[in-house]
Amino acid sequence: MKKPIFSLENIRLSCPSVCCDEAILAAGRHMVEQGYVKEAYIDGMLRRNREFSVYIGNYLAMPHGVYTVKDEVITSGIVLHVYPNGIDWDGEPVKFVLGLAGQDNKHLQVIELCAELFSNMETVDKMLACTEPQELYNIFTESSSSSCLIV
Amino acid sequence: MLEFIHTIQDPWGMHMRPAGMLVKIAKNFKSEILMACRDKEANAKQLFDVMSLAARTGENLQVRVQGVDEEEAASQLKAFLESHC
Repeated sequence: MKKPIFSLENIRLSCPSVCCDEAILAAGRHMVEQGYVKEAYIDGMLRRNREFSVYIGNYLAMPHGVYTVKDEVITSGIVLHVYPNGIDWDGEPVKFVLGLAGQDNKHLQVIELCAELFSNMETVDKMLACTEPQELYNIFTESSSSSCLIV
Repeated sequence: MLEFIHTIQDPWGMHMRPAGMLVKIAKNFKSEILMACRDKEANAKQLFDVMSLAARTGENLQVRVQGVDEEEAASQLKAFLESHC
C-alpha cells in the first residue's frame, strides 16, 4: 500500500517558538522520520529558504527543497507544525510550518490545497484553535481541493 | 488592455518559487493583472491566488494587463514567464 501524503502522525501542535532555520530542520527531520525524504533533502530546504523565502502569508511558511535535491524525495508527503506563539520568519509572523516534498505534480495539488485553506483567515483562525491533530486533519481532508491527499 | 498566452514549459509546472517571483514583479505595477488557467482566474499580485491556479506543464496561462503601465508590465511578465515558467 502506498504511503498517504498526510496523516495524523504528520501533525504537531503546540510547538515552542524557534528560529526559522530550526523550524525548517524540525519539519525536514519529521519528513525523514515519516519516510518521505532522505536526509539530504533537509539541506535543500534550508538552501531554498535562503535563496527565496518560503514565507507565503497569513501565518504560513512552506519549506521545500531546491530543484537539485528532487532525487532525495522518496514519496510525496507533507508535515504540519503549529507554533501558537509564532516564529519570526525574517520579519514576518509564521504560525504554520508546512514541510512539502512532491513528486508527479502532487506538489502543485498541495500548493492549490494550501492556497484554498490559508487564503481564508477564518479557516486560519479555525486551524489555530485546534487542540487535537484530528481536528486539523479533518479541516485539510474536508476542503474541496483535498483529492491530492488521497492515494 | 493587453493580453497574451503563455504555455507552461517548466516540468514542475508553476511551482512556489516562480509563483512568488511573478507576484513580486506584478506588484511593481499599477495596472490590474489577471491570470487565467483552466476555469480559474487569479490576481497576479496575490500569491495565494496565483498558487491556487496550480498551472501544470503544457497548460495555457492567459494573462490580461490593464492600466497606465500595462505595456511595461506585460513585457516584463512575458519575459519572466518565458525564462522561468
